[in-house]
Parts: sequence; structure tokens; C-alpha cells
Amino acid sequence: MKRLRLILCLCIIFLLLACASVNYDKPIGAFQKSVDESVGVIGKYYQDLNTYERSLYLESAFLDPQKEVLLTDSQGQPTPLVGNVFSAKGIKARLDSLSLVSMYSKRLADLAGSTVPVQFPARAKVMGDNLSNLATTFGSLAGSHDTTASSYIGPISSLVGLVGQIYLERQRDAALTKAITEGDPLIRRILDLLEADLVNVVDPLRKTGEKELLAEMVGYYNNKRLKMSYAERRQAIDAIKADAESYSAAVIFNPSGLVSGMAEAHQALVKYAKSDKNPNDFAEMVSAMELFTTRVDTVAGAVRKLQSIR
Amino acid sequence: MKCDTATLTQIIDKCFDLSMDGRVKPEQRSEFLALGKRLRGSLLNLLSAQFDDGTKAVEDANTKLTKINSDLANEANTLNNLAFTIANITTLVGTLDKLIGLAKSFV
Repeated sequence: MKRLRLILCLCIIFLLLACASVNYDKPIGAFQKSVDESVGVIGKYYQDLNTYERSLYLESAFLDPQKEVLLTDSQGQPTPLVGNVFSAKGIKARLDSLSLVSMYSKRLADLAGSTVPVQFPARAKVMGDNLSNLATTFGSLAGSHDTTASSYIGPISSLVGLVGQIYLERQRDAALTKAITEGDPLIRRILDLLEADLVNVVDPLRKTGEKELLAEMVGYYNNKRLKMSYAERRQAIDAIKADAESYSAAVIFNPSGLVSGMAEAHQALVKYAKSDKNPNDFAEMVSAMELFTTRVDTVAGAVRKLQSIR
Repeated sequence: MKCDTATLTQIIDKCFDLSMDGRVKPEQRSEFLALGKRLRGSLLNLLSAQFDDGTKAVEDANTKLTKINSDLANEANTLNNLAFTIANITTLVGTLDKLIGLAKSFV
């Protein structure tokens, strides 16, 4: 009877441990994958900034023979020809910030998927020792008049291993919770800065640039069309079509949306880390990761379209 | 202190729209295109320009930007007074050129 009570208590403890364990690895894996894809898209945007302005400048010169190509304009300001509209240092700082976010998400994923053994602290060792002693006890009972004792040896031995595994998972999950909650203010600061950059600087330049290209090509065609050959008109109309598509894609494409998506997904991780971790909390976190993945897929599609046009 | 580049962006967008508007005479469309391009050139510089707090020229430029943007939002009025609109925006170009010259730094 005493033996039965002891085993029942141990089973209840095991169940409690199992329920308390958190299944972080899949949602964090999804978060990391989407962060990497977002960082790739946004990073390319920053890297192409100066190249894009140069293209715009030269295209404008091509359409207007009255316009000179210069290094410095009449106001003494550098043109986009070779001048850095955005300093190399400034672009590198932004790319480094993005790399930091990517590295952080990778570390979380590494931690979530970790199977590296961790040493038991004292109290877990006591539990493990108790279970081991129990296994030994049953072992000594087997072969004696206690005919069912030997049946307990296998399950109890497995339980010792399982408690160890659950303990490791709890250690890992505690480390993840710590990493996510302590990383939160730092990640938020970086993402806020990047979002402000994209909203206030990159996006306005890109959208007005695409509209300038379109307006210039339209003006060129309207002014010259009566003197154009059939082939020249065909070429000009095709160029207008490409410029219009590019402008439409630029209007839809919202790189700052990727950054805010990353911030929202990270907030979902933080919320879960601080929650009671019941099934509803977990489902909410998984939904947030799925939403982020969908957003990234949509934006990546828009970027591919933009690149195919130009 | 910064120039109101968000409002400037809207004005640039409007200039390009007017450059492709069939209700606008061809010669005025060309003017709107040229003004849009000049203003975009100013935008490129002003996005990274830093000014000392309280610089009057920045405050005046921002006021002018708000006024012109508000006028452009009234489409009927704009189309009925295109010459006036072009003159206002041309003045704005000059104002922003001078402002760029006053920038403390470009970050």
C-alpha cells in the first residue's frame, strides 16, 4: 500500500512536470525563418539605395537631352552620379542592426532546439536519486516473494530518464523565457529605429522615384509621339507600361510593414513567455507566427515582382 | 530640427500627378514635371539635413509646405489657378534650396 502511494505520488509529479513544459521550438523556428527572410528583403533595400538614385538620375538625363550629367549640381550639392545619397557608414549601421536582429532570432531558435545535456542542480538530483533508489529497491525485491516487483523496474527506470529530460526542457524553457523577456526592450528599440527610417526616408524616396520615372516617360512620349516611328512608339509605350507596373508595385510594397511584423511577432513571444502558458496562450502565439509568415511571403512576392519589372 | 519632408513628399507626388493630367495644358504639365523633379532633388538632401532648433528658415519653410499642400488638396481650385500654383511651387523650390544651404549637418 505504501509502495502504491509512493508510486502514485511520483506519477502525479511527473504529470505536473510534463504539463509545465513549454513547446517553444516550432513557433520560434517559424519566427527565425520569417525574420531571416524579412532581414534579407529590407537589407537589399538599403544596399540598393544609392544604385537606385543613380539609375533615376541617368534615366532622367537620357530622356532630356537638355540635361547635363554632372558630379555636382548648380547649387553645389553632389548629384547621385557617384555621390552617396546615403553614406556607406549609414547603410552599414542599418545592415548591422538588421544582422543583430537576425542573430538574436537564431540564438533563440538554437536555444529552443537545444538537446545539450545540462547538469542537474541539487534538488532535481535528489528527485532523480529518489527514483533511482526506488528502481534499486524494486530490483532487490524482484526474485524475492514480491512477484510483481520486477514489473515496476522497467517503467521506473524510464521515469528516471524522463524526469531528467523534462527537467532539461524546463531549464531550456526558463532560459528562453529569460532571453525573450530581457531581449524585448532592446529588440523593440532597434526595430522602432529601423521602422522610422523606412517610413520617413526609404519609402518616400522609392515611391516618388517610381512616380518620377513614370511621369518622365509619359511626358517624353506625349511630347515626341507625333515624330516617332512605329517601332519607337512601341518601345516608348512598353517603357511606360513597365514604369506604371513598377510604380503600382512600389505603392503596394511596404518594407516598414515587415519591421512592424517582426515587432508584433516578437511581442507575441514576449506575451507567451510571461503568460501562464495554457493551450489558449500557446495557440495565440502560434497564430501570431503564422500571420507573420504570411506577411513575409506576401512582401517577398511583391519584391520579386518589382525586381522582375526592372 | 528637421524640415517637414512628409508634406514635401505629398507635394512632389501631386506635381507628378498634375504633369500627367489631361486637364492641364501640355506646357504646364512640363512645368509640373520639372518642379516635381526639382523638389525631389531637395527631398533627397533634406531627408538627411539637420538644423539647429528654432531655425526660423525651417519654421517658415514648414509653414509654406503646409499651405501649398493644403491648396493642392483642393483639386478644383488648383485646376482653376494653375499659373498661381506653379508660381507658388517655384517659390517653394527657391526657399528649399536656400534652406539646404543652412543645414548644420547631413546624417
